[in-house]
Amino acid sequence: MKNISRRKFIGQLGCGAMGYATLYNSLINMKAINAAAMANSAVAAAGDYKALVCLMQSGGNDSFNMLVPRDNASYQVYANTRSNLALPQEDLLALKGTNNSMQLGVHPSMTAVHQLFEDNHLAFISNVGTLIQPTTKEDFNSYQQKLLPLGLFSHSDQSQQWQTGFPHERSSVGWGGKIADMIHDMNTNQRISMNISLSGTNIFQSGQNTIEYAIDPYNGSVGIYGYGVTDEWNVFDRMRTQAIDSLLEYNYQDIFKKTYADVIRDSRDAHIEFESALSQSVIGTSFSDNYLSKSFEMIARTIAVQQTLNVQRQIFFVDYGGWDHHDEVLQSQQDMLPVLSTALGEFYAALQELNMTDQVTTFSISEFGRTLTSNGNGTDHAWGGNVLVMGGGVKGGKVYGTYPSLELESDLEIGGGVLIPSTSVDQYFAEMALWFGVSSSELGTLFPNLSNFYSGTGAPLGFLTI
Amino acid sequence: MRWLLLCSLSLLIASAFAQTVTLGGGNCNGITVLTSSSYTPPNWTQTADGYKTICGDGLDGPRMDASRFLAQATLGANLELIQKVADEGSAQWLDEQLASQPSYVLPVTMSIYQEIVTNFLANGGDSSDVGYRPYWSAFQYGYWHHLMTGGESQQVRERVALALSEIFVISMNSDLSGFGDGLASYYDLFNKNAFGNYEDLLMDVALHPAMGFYLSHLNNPKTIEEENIHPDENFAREIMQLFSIGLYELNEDGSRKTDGSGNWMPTYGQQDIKNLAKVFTGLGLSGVVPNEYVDGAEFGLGIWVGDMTHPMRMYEDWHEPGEKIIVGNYTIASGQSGMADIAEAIHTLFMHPNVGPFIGKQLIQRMVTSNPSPAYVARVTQAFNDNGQGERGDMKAVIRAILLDPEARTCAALESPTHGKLVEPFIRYTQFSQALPLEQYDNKFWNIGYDFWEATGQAPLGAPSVFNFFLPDYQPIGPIAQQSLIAPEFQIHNTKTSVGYINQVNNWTASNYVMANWEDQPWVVLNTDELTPLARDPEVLLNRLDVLFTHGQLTDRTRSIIKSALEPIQRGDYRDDRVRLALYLLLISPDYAIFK
Repeated sequence: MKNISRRKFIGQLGCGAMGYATLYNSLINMKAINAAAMANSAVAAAGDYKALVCLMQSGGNDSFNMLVPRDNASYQVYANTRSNLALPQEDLLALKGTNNSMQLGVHPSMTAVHQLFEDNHLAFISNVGTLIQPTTKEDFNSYQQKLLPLGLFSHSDQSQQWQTGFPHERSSVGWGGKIADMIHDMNTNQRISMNISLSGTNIFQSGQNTIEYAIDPYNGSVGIYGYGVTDEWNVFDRMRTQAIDSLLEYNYQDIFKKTYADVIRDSRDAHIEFESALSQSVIGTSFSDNYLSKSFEMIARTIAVQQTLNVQRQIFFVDYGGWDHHDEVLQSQQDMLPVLSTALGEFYAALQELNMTDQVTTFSISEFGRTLTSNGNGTDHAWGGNVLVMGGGVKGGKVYGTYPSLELESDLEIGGGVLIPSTSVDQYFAEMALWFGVSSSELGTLFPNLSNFYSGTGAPLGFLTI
Repeated sequence: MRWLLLCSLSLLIASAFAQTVTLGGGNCNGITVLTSSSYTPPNWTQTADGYKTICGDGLDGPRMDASRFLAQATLGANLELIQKVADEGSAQWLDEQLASQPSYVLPVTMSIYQEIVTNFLANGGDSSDVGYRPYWSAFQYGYWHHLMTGGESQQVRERVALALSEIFVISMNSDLSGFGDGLASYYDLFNKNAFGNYEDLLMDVALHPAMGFYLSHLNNPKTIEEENIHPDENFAREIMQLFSIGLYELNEDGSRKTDGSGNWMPTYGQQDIKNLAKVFTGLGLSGVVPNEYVDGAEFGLGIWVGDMTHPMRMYEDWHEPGEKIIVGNYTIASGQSGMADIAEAIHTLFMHPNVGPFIGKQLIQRMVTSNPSPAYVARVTQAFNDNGQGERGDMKAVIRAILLDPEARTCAALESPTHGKLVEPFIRYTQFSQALPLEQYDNKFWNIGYDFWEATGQAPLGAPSVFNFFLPDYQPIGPIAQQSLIAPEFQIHNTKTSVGYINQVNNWTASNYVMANWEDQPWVVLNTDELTPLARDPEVLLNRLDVLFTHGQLTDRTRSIIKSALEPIQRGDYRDDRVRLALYLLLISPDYAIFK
């Protein structure tokens, strides 16, 4: 085995498996630390309820095998380019309509997603990615770093940028966190974070003044074991509870001790409230017994008791990771895409049961798409990719953005089957921020490069009813 | 507070006409002490009898000071070690530590792995299921077993090694999870170089295949214009940003320099990264493990069958030729070997005036306090710049400067409201493990640490990314940020992890499992025998725990809360219950979690 193909060689160049929860930190721009907290939105305490659900596919989803051209001419191009990775034409689930004169289909295993699309509850956005400004092939080849997002093709950098909206500098403050900073007053209940994570700490939900409230997909919020016991016979736990209360109910002078204790006290209080509300929450819709579906079930149960919790705006985050398919992409996607599709179907059904479909928008993110060309049986890091968005407020049954030509050496293809995105994540995210209640004047703070792609006050892409 | 006795050990001055006599602190020559009672309760090993009271023997002061010193200098200490350091003196004990020879985690990891494989095969496992090497789990087992059995001579080394692993970060949160030998071998660079020279450490890190994989300069090719291949910039960026000089020009005291308009001054630009990337080209694996695919290593070979425990080697054909102008406009001449290029680049970074304050301040933050005074940082920088014998980068000098500085040692510093830090969750775990007797049926301290990692976010080489568990300048929201102070460890103290830690403490104390493993070996449990005799009187028990964990700073309020919790426990095995509850409450209290 003396000749190693270039693709395999590149595939072995340091690629981390992304199956773990996204616990990310990165070097904060020092100015961001010192900046004053963002002013709250002018919107008053909302009478209505809205939730954003961010579904992250860590690793880089090979999304040109999720959303696939199916008319003969474009399928032929697809098959040529993707060679041994091309899905059989007859297996694709046909989507109605066209985009860029192409008829499209969805991966054969994604039956729920297909149905949601046909019922107009789900849409795709095509060839989206991180961009500082609209970028051409010539721009890319002139290799001027200033024009391009930092660390293109690097997991940590790109993943960060999809979560921060800052492709031009390193930041670990997420746009979900910033939104919560801006509009947290819209929630009557200030004791539980607007941002709830099913996958632990993450950049997306970290703001200047906001951190996520992390809960467990199966058990809900995490409480102190043995706390709150009142049984007479259990002296140990009763004394434990009493002592913990005494330790926490104190105004520590020392600022380090105070900070330490405050966090625990907030956690204890939030848990009591959260657990109590959740215990009243019952959903009839059944969910599959896997991490992703259970996460969505927990989200649905939380949404079901939003009135009890007295919250009007919530942002949820769940990371379904493991998409870094340098090897065995066909089999891996065959295993994982149906899990994703089924979970979305179950979640939508639960929202229908709650009569809250219009109020919840679920959207997917992934740090990049993958190379159109095969490296043997897998694909490597690329750039532009396809995402999906689901909800009653979504103008579904359409593909937004421009589905690209999959011809090698097209105007957007920069070598190795990597496509320059034609839609910026800024446009994608900004539309959801507007829907959620952020005013258009504040979009520039969230997404500093947005004005390179969109100006005005209407919807950047038009997939949501704003 | 009892520790005050050390700081204010007073001179008893006799009348103005007589000579000055100093009593106490061991000075008792020629004194006879008569007391009205010299009753000694049976079975009590320590008493405050008349002689000891006057002469100050057994006063807690020196012990508390030693305990506090050990909490800065090591990953945990038991009563015996605390007493030893109290008797010997911290500076002298530190000298002994700095003179010790390193012991390593890799051999322990591999030995444990062999045992696991042997057991696997003996229990009917198929040899084709045995991989080329251990996973991350064996590294965790090896780390903990080494920690628990490595002996006193390694104490300070282990603390410094952990701190270094949080600066020169690689992580199991990557494909390296399948390379337990690579992880252990990499970690041993810190054991090897903790008391050596910083330049050697930087070079060792740059050449280790685990780092090569993690920051992708393994198999990094030179420029090939026709194929649009350019040297990967990942490592070049991070070796500057994180491992040596940082983002901005620094003064000796750690503050950022400003230009005429008051702006911070970047240490390097994009072109510097590109050029430095050219230096780190051509490195590939130096060998392979026995396998059926390749006979030997070559440039481009991935790590799957690679030797991950020996440095990478240079493949000249793949090294970028030509001169490279790197940071500070320094020109590396063309025409020399790849390794010469690398050595020169490393030396250039090493000589940058930023290294002392950039690395020194972070080590202070890991070991002593989050907000050292500029003067403290400057003193440590000076020790880095010159150890007193003209050598730059002598880690021994840096460690002495950090641990023996007045700001680390004296009570005046301790009293300052901005002094202190949140103890890292992982160090709370190691402190508990080393303060008290733990038992395992076969004396195997194989700790997978997975539950703890999940609960708190920390495990050795378990950071979420190359940016460590927390950023060096993190400011938690609230009074700390309001006072423009820094407290990095709070970045992983959130609603989930704060309670996660508490529940781990519950495991150690109430549920009685301290360390678990996935190899069907018996777990490690707490042995309370040493403490149960003290539990009849909660005051006495708390005095002991104060020496072990809070170094004399257990507040009256916390003390009284714990006592009130213990007193109603009077039935059954009440002393054991009291010990467990006392430990639990103390270990979750702010008095313990915050180190002053």
